[in-house]
Amino acid sequence: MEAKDKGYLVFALNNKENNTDYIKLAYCLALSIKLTQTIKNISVVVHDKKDVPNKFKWVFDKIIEIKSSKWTKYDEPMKNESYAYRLTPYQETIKLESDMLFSKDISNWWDLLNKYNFMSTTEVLTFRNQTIYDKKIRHEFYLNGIPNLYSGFVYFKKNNEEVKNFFEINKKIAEYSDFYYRKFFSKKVPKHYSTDATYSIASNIMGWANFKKLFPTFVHMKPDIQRDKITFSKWSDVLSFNVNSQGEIFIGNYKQVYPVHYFEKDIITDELVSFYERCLNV
Amino acid sequence: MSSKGILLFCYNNEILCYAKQSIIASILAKKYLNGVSVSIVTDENTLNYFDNNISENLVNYCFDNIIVKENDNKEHRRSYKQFSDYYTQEVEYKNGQRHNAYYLTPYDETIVIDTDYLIFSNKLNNLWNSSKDIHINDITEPVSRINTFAKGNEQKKLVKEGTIFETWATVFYFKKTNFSRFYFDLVNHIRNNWNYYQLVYDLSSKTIRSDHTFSVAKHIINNLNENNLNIIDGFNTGILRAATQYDKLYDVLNNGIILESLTEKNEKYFLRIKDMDLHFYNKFHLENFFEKFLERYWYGS
Repeated sequence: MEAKDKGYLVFALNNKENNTDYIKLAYCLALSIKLTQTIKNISVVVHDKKDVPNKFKWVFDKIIEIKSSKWTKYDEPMKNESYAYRLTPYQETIKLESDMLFSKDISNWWDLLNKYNFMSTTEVLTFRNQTIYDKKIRHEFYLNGIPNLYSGFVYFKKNNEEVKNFFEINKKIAEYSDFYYRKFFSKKVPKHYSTDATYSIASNIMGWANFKKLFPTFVHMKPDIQRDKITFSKWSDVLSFNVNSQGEIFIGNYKQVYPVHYFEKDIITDELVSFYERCLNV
Repeated sequence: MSSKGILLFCYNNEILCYAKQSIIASILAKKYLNGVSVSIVTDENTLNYFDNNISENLVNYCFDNIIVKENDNKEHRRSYKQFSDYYTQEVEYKNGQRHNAYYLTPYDETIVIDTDYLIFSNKLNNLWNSSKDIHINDITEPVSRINTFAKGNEQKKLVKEGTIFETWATVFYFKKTNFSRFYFDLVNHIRNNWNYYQLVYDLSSKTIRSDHTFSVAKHIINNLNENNLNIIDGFNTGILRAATQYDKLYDVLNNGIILESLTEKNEKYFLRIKDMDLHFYNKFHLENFFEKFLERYWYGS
C-alpha cells in the first residue's frame, strides 16, 4: 500500500457556543505531524471549508466539510465523529483529537496496526510515561463493565465490514445517545456526550474483547490524572512546556515520546504555531 | 577478584560531629557486612578531630583507608532543621565530595553510605557482584507512623510537585566502569552548572544537594524520562527506610535500636529497629548515643 493510503483524520468542528478554535488546533497538530512523522498525511473535517483560513489549507490532504450535519451546537459536534469511517479519504486511518501534538516519529506503528482492522487506545499515560489511574475519571465505565476506550487515537481500516458495522452502530448511538447511555451506563450515566463513551458502547455491542493494553497509547494531560496529584486546575500553571526545532515536546522537562493530548487548548498560541511554521520553513 | 568496600564522606561542621557518626556507621557496617572494608573521605579539620578525640585503635579498626580531600572552594551550604528535645536547630551543612565518589573510592565496587545510615542487617551484601553498574534508591519510606514523605500511598517522592522523581543519594552502589564514570561526570557537570539546571528543572533549592544532582543526572541519562530503560537500577535490598526528624533515639541494643516516635495525635510510642538498615535523620541524637554504640558494638567485639 502506498503511503498516501495511510493518514490521520481529525475533526475540527468550531461552534458558536464554544470559543475554542479547533481549526487552529488541528492546524498546529498537522504542523507537528509534518515536522516529526515519516507518514505525514492528514485530513481535517470541518463544518464549512470557508472556516479554514487560506494559510492553513496547504497542510491538509483533504478538507472535508459536513455542511449538512445537524449536530452543530454545544457538545453535539462530537457526534459527527461517528461518521469517521465514511468521511476518511484513507484506506488506513488513525483518528485523532484536534488538541494533540506529535513529538516523536511513530510511523513504525502503522506496520503493527496494519495487522488489525480496528485498534483503539485503552490505556493512556501521564507526562512521565506512567499509566494513569483512571478509575476516578472513568468511574462510569468500570461501574457498568463497559470497555474503556480512549477515542483520541483510534486506528481503523476502510473496506472492512466489521469496522463499517462498528461505525454504523456509532451513528445510532449518537442519534439516540440518551437512550443508549441510560441503557449501557445504567448504574451511572455520563453527564455529557463523549466519543469515548460512544465508541465504548459500540465496542461492547460488537462483542469485541475488553482488555487493557499499552498499544497504541498517548499522553493524556488532564491534570488530576497525572499521578503526582497536581493540585492546580491547569497543568500549564505548574509544568513547563517546550518544543524544540525537531518538534520534540518537553513537559515538566520530560521528553515526550508518545503523541500528547494536551487538553488545555490555550497552550496553542499564535507564537507556537509560528514556531512550527518556521521549523518547516513555511 | 574485585575489591569491595563502603565509602563514607565525613566533614565536621561547627555543630555536628560527623566524625563520631562515621565511627558508628563503620562499626555497624563491619559487624553486619562480614568485616567489610570501610574507607573515609575527610578533610584536615576532621582528621585533626580524629587525632585529638578518638583513640587510634578505634580509628584504625573503623577505617581501612583515610582519603583526605578538602571541600570545594565554592562550597554551597544548606541549612536543615533537626529536632532535638522538641525544638529545632538550624545547622549549616557542608556538602561533601560525594559527586567525586567515582574518582575517590579505592574499590572496584563501592557502596557509599551516609554517616547517619545505620546498618543492622546484611542486605547490602546482595549488591556485590551486581550485573548493573549503578544502584540508586528511588523509593523511601519512613519507619514511624507520621508520613512526612510521599503523599498518599506513593513511596516515590517528587523533588517538587510537577518535576522529576527524587533519587536518594543516601546509599548507593556503583562499579568502576565507563558508564559509572560517565554518570558521575554528568553529576559534576550538573553541579558546575547548577544555576542552569536548577532553573530548567524548576528546583527551588539554590544550594546544591546530592539528592537533586543525582536525580537530575539519572533523569538525563534516562533520555529525559522515567527509568524505562532500566539503565540505573533501584535497590534489590528493599526500599530505603528512614527515621525522620520526629523520631528520637531512645536506646541502643546489641542488635538494633529503639526509637521514640510520635503519632499524628502527638502520642508517644516506641519502635524497635532490628534486621533492617535505617537512615537516621536526627544526627544530634546519634552523637548523644556515641558511647552507647561503642559499648554495644566496639567494646563488646
